[in-house]
Amino acid sequence: MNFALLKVLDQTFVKAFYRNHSGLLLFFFIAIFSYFFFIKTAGDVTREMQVLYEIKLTLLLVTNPLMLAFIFLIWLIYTFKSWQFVAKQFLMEDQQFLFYSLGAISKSILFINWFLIQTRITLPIIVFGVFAIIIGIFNQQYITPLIIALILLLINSVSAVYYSFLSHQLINSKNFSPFLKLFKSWKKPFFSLFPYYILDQLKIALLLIKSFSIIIITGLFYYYSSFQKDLRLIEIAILMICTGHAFLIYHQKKFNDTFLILSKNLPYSRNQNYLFLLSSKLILLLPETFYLCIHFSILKALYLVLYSVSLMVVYSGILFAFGLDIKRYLFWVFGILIVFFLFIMFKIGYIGMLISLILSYVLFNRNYYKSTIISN
Amino acid sequence: MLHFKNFQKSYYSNPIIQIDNLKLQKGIYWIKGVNGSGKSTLLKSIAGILDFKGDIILNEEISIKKHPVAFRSVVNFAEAEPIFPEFLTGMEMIKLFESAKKGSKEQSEGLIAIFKMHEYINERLGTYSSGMLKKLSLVLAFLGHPTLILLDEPLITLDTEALGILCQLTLDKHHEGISFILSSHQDLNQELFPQSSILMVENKTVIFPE
Repeated sequence: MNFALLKVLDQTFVKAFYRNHSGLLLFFFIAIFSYFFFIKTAGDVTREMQVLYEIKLTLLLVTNPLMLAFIFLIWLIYTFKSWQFVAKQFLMEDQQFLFYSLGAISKSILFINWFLIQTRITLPIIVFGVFAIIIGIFNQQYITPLIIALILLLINSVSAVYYSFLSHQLINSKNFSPFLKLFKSWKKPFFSLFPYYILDQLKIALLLIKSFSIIIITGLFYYYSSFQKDLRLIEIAILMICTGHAFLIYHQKKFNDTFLILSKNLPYSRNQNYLFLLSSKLILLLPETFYLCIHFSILKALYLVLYSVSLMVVYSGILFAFGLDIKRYLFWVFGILIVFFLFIMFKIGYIGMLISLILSYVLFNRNYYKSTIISN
Repeated sequence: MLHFKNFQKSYYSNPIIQIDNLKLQKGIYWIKGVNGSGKSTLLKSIAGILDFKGDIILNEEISIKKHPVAFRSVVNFAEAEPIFPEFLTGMEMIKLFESAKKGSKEQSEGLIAIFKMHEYINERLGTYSSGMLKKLSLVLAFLGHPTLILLDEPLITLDTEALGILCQLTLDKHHEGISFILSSHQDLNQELFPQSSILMVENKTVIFPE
């Protein structure tokens, strides 16, 4: 075993992967796992019954084929994301020394090293898989744990083969998203740049977040037929959907701070820049806006669209105030989720919207030019 | 041309550069200083990219704090190591700046021709070399109707031919009334800009060398 090589690969790929995706992983961990294990059921539910519900929910993992297929789909997306990340790292100039060193190593050693690296990258899904296997064995469900173990083995083996293949490739030029070709002839105004960046760099994240939106909207449509009468249900759905989009908003700030620093030299007033920010949120929420316009009257749809844009823009305001501090950002995002949920329950959701718009405008105005970039 | 009034730039309450009162007349200025002296910070502050305490006034009437849009309309900036969105083409980037800085299509095409960028201007920026990106940033800095152009380390990564083109363009624009502030950590080659003045960034302030 070549431990020196493993250490270099670990530094270059595993640590960088978690550093780059910590926000998304943390978000899903809090949003999904906390729901599974810590949600408090409303009404008179005894502790025993609650434990029973949680066990039933967990057992679904190993007994329901549909649930299993859904989990495998998530794993597949996660794996594609890791492939995309590793391939991108290979193309970075400061990583190109790897082509010279990895090219001289035997295929079997390279495979084992890449297998171990992928095992570390997929650690969150391995932990989840092992948990499901244990649950299955305890409940005498042996087929599903076997399938899960084989899938995990397959994911890591295929990934190791793919990375070994990449290691022996010649340095290639940068590939761009095929989606960008669709918009090649379109004009690209300033406020539209981040949506284009998503299509180029954050496709998987967009797919996950929009899938989350579809699940929430579909669930609302099927289980609460009265949602058009009681506006609170759709307000809660929008609150959840916007919380899902918080990850993209974080990346918007990162994108602006990295690639659009020079834009602060452009002769646009703060108000114009704030309008650009609002417009970019509207573009991000186009599918949801379309849905709202179909299912609600113009006035209600307008209110709901403004409500969702106000939430998205207040997340940006927080980032302008505190910078790209992911822990602080998530704290505020979940704080807003709880407070605004209470506003909605007390039928004063519009107060949350007004607070968001005012707060975001103030934070944006005060902090737009206050940057912390140090370069001499 | 440019008046610094109680200018102070700090990072996390650590002062980087302080200029109590300094007036620069029209001309070409070379700002010299060692790495980390605050040259880029100063240029970014003048460009309106970084926030600072105090004020900078252009032509005795346009304050960066009181007239932020008017100030940014006539002060252009090129970064030392520009980073642009990789999915955009060079031409799309130029169109963005052309529209914001009120430049014209003819002006953009003229600058593309001067820097000989026709072959790759419609390629995505992710495929550009550092020299090509540098040329693009220089084109962006000359767009519109600037009265002051700030060039951060303009000599690095340019080939000899492009360097000659930049010097000639700078001198031509200077004769049209545009002022320049250029930064460098290298010694000034007087032959490049015969009528230029030197400014030193040292001891966290800007001075004319004796």
